[in-house]
Amino acid sequence: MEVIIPCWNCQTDTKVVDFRCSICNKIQNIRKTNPYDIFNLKQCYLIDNEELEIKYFQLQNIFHPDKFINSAEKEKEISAYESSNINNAYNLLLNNVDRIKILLKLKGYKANPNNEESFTDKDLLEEIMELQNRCMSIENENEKVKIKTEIIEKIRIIELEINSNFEKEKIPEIKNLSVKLSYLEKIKKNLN
Amino acid sequence: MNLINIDEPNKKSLTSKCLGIDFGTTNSVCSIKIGEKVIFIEDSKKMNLIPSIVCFDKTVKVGNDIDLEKNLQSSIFSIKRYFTDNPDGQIVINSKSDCLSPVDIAKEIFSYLKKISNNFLNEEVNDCIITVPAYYDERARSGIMRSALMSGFNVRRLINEPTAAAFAYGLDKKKRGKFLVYDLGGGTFDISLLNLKDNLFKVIGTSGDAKLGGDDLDQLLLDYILNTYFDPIKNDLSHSEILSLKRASKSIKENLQSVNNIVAEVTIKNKKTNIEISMNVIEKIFNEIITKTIKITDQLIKDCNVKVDEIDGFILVGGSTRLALIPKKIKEYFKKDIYSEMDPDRVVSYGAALHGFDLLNGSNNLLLDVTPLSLGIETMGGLMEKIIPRNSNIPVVKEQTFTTNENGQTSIKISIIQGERETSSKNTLLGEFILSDIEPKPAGIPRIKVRFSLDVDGILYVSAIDESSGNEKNIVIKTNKDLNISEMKKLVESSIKNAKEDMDTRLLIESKIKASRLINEIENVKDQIETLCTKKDIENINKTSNMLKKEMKTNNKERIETLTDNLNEQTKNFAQRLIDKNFENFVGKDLDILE
Ligand SMILES: [Zn+2]
Repeated sequence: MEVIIPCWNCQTDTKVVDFRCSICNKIQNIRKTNPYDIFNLKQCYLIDNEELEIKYFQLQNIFHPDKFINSAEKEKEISAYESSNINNAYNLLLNNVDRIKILLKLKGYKANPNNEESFTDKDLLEEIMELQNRCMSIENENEKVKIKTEIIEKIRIIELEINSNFEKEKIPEIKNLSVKLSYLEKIKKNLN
Repeated sequence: MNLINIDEPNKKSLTSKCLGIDFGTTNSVCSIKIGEKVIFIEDSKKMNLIPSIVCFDKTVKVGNDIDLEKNLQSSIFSIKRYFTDNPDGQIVINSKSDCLSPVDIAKEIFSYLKKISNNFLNEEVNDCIITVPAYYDERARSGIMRSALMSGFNVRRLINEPTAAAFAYGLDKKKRGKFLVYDLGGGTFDISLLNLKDNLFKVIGTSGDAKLGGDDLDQLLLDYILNTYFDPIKNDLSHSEILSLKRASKSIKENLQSVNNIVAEVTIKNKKTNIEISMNVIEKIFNEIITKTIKITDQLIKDCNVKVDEIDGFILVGGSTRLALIPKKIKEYFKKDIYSEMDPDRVVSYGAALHGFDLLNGSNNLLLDVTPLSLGIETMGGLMEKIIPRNSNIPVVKEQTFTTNENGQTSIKISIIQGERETSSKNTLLGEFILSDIEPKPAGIPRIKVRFSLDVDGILYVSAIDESSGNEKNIVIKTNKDLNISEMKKLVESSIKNAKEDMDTRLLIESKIKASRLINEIENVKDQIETLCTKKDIENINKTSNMLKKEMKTNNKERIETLTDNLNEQTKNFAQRLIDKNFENFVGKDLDILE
């Protein structure tokens, strides 16, 4: 059931078209809490970045404060609030680790709260340690590029695995892969 | 058919005008889009590059109105540079050792720009967009904003200088793709990576050095010339001799773009000297600074996760990029096309004028920018906890929950810092906020949610709510005593809206700001006033300040000024008593120690 909240300005329970009240044309809040819904995306782990970007631009085109420079205070407030909201949601979805947490939460599971970075898997620990050691002893730009390419490929494969585990609702596997993924992302970032 | 004829002239008069102001370290430029054209504002000497120089002689003079030969000593140059240190610090402005802050000094430049714009356009234009270096922190940004507001400008946006330039290239030169805007101004270096699409201009990331600019190049060249040609007498040179050498070295720098070798003749102490500078020498002197800018650029590309292959070219902005060595070095290192066909001294103002027109009159163009520096709070042990990381899209709102350390604690101090260093003391302290009126509870129980909102101008607003008390009571946040930006903006807006046609809004706004500052100050020391003043004094102070508050809603400049003066007079006694009391306290303490 859809909850109908009346327009903040004219108080009528009217249809909202493109986030504007169809009676008084005033901008309305998005009224969606999870990032997938804000961008109207299917709740899948792998997302189409281009599609997300297009929708991000469409929403910012509606809500960005530049579009409300001559509007009344209340509309400015909604614009500033929703524009930041859209920015936050966009950045969360672009982040492959944050996306795991969002999806787990949406499916009713707790995302690893505190032990996010602990290893339960000994092989994984060894693999990461070895990679880290290799990064520490990089001698030239070529070697760096090579390792970086390797890491990017590893990340791509893990993302695929996570995606298929989400389809099969294999939650413990997802949690393990999520630890590995966040470590790989960190190593990749440090290579910059 | 008739309708069209009626519609056309109407339409024209309906567009709002908005100045695009590039307040620069060396020069300032103002332009405005009228109809389909952008025009540059000229001063009375028909110049549109206005030197950012203020002279406090008998009267205040700005720009080309100053006779530098005569007023060199009493002129203040490059005031923009001081904003990165402390916009509210004190600078000596004349031989009498009078002091003013960078905000107050820059205000004179903005007032002057407003005056020449009004003269040139034959109408008062209050709305403007001001450009700031992309790598400016919040304190410098709000300093510039306050400065311009005090001059009576209704500042509709602050936008980043490289972003404004990219906007101009995107609209006028139809550039599409990923571009790096390399902006070397007089005092700052900015590098921004943008994605330019149809109707969409998105900053991917930005970096720079707020204390590196063409001024530094000029200084290096001057040092070289002094050491090479004037070594025995370099310490005996007069101010005006140094100035003429400075001019010579500047012109050498600017002219080395077309030739490989330059000989300039200068006369110092009645002796002619030929200064010869070759491209090789320039390369040697400037190498370090240019290499530094290239390193910053390289790091930005990596931070943005973009491959060099994906970049379509460099856009050069800022007078210093006229130096042929810069495009040469960039080309050598990055192997990219370089664009500089739009006047590097004027393109920033030009882009701001285009964006200003869009803002006030509506358009399909969308400009999305980022914050250059991470924003965070100081945690125990003096480390910085990041709340908003750099290169986050703006506007951005982040919330953080705080709690108390001690039982019954009713206030919490929060230090807000900006920068990339781990240790908070190495970053910029934006402000210390005291959350007070927290309901007394056992330690760790209160939950104070603090909201940090960084708006599209890059200005930070902080608010807080005590969640634990059930009712969402707003916590009082005490900051510095001055008015905040939103208070000032409202003052300016209401003054402009209600101003009579022939009134000078600038002076009205100035008197209103002075009045609000005083009222604010008095509210801040209310408790002390009650203990140190007589009943009658308190009554008088309250009466006048209430009258003043009422008068602020009108636009009666004279009344506001008279009441402000009265209030100042009435609180004078109190101020003296406060100083005495502080002195007593001080003496008391001293004696205690002696015992
Ligand atoms: Zn409505």
